[in-house]
Amino acid sequence: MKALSHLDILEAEAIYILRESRASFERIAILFSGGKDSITLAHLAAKAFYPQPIPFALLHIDTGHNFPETIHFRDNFVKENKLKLIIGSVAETIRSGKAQEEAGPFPSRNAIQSITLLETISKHNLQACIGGGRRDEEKARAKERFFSLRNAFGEWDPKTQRPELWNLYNTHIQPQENIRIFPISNWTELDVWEYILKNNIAIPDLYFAHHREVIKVNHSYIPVSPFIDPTYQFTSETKQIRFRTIGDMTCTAAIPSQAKTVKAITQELRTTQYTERGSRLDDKRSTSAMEERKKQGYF
Amino acid sequence: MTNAPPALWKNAKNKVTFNTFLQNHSFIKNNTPAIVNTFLNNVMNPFSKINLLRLVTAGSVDNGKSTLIGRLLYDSKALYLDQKDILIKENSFTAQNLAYITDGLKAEREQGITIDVAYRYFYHKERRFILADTPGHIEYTKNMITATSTADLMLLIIDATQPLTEQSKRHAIISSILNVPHIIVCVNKMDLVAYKESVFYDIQTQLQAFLKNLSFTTIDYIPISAINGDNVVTQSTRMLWYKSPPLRDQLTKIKIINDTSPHGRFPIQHVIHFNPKTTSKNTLAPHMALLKDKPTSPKNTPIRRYAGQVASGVFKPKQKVTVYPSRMTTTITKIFVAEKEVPAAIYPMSIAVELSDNIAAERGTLLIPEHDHPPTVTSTLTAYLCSLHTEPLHPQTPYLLKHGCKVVKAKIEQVISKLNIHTFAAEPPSKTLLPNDIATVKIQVSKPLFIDAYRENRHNGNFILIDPNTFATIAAGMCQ
Repeated sequence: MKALSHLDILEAEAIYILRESRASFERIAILFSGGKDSITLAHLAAKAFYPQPIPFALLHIDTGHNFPETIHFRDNFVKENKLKLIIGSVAETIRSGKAQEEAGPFPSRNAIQSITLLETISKHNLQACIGGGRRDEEKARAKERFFSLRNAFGEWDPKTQRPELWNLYNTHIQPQENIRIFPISNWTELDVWEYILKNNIAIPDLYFAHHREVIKVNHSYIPVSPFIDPTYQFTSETKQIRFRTIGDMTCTAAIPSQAKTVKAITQELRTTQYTERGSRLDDKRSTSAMEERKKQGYF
Repeated sequence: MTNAPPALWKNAKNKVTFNTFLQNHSFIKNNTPAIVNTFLNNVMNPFSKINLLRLVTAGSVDNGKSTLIGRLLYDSKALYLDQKDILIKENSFTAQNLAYITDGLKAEREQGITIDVAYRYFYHKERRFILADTPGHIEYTKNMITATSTADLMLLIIDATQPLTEQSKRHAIISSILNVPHIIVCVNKMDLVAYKESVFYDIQTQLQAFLKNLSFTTIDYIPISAINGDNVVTQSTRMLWYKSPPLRDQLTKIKIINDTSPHGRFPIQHVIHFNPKTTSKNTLAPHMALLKDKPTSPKNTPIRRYAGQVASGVFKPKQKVTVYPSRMTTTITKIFVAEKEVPAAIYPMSIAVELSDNIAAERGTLLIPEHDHPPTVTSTLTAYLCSLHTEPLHPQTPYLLKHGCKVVKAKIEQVISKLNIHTFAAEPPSKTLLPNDIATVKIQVSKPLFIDAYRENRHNGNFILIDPNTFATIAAGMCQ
């Protein structure tokens, strides 16, 4: 048996937090997007309670602008693991008049997503949601606690966060309040990939290099999709690309890549000069785009 | 620097080293299979290759903390091009504004100060760093304590042009109380004092007098200029009188003291019940690679696994353990990390154990190796308490106390002495604890706790206080 690696330590930390979540809350779900972070999280939950089934439902906020591959993966994942899936539909939120579709060639449903999330939390009376957010992703996330309190309106107040000492997490909440739990806060993008490699975790093919029709917008490659404004004139090209993050088809940009295996991805990441979310149009809107979204109730 | 901190923050005597511990505890060393010994040699050696260093920055406002981190990340190539693009776009990509990289929140950038802890991640060679950048302002001391509680090393940033501030001393004292083993003092802004050797050594002499009374295992001093990058990542050519390596090399080479206690403490966090006969084959899908080791048993009897994170010491199969509070004795039969059986477990592994007897163990129960040094069982604690609240804390007010996996009712019986942060002397008792106060208090709890002194066991000697009405976390405690 070898010495504990940094991945062993990060895994132990995440498992401790997942068990603490289970011990503290009755009504709790994993925010599952079908992306690598939430898949890793579900895997960690399986480990934390093994051989009991994962004691959390999965909650997916379906923007209606997803990659079909993501939805396919999600449905298989839920079926194979016999999990309970809760879906919150952004399209439904728009139909009910609680939110309005954005204008522009690449309409993002990112902001509206928070409304749907808060509605779904309240509909299912959830006390806590476990998310795959990581502190290395973005500068507002760098300030996030493991157990992060949201007030009765789902808002995050970065100025009055609870101090979080040692591994003594304060999980007490008032009836209307909600907690977001981030067990893999301390993981980097590379840690997640090394963990996926080590544990042989299945992930959607979108993460691997493949040929796809894309539109070059500034320095980003946006996939051609049915969700682009039909009046928008564009020229597309077929390129070998892969996705580093998976969000809406309208805001997730691809990167040119040769990496067809998990191993190749870890090697690519060791030499990249760009951040993971660097090509996401939703984060590029302003320097505090994520902070503003988080305050409103975003993941 | 006339006022030394009181002796009570001095290093604990009789700290048990791992080797003396092994010599004294034959139940660990004798008759253990080779695999366990290999495991112990690899993992339990206090200087084992656990190459994850958690560090925290501290120092007064304007000492250049955030600039130093910006510099460390920038020169370590841990900043990505698009982050730099944003800096360029906002016209702030100057050395002075390196601080913007860590000041993430809008309010922070507007006010030019750090409000909350920001965590940053970088590598150098084989070592991984989790760096917590903390606020310097006194009203945000609670966030500084938060970041320090899990740190292995404190980077104390001192301004070479200014006299030593109370806030800097306060940060050093806090990290000493929190038992951070290593401290590196960065004397910053050497560019503003013409890189003079005498300025650096004067400050070092002043600090030595102060720090020698604190409990750090290692203390190092480095003259730097964060703005110009001197001695941060590359050796300065302007301070040839300084012979030691630059900061990042020292961070990479320092041997991390594994400060966990050798005495076994395993708090039960959660009980996993299952029936091997009826546990569905599809509990975990094949692609999760976990199904292969599905537990099987011909018997249709439920199995319990007691899950938790090892707080300290060594646990292994066939070991007899005492269960607190019942004091019953049982034997560990198997130890698992998820689906895998392991030959031994130590801090910080998250494990699940099977026991030979069906005992009443639940969340909050503590397992201890049978002949190991026992914890103190008590309803009255004497502890250092750091107030983290915006309101005063009053004795006799009901609070909640969380220790390990247990939450009990608690009240402060008595404030024994307060630490004066101006003179660093112990002050006579006072009625209340004001925001940011650090005091020795006596606390009464509703049910007995099984505690160790924080000095001897960081993970079984700590607790937090919670307001039972607002549920705010209002204080951090360290048992004496």
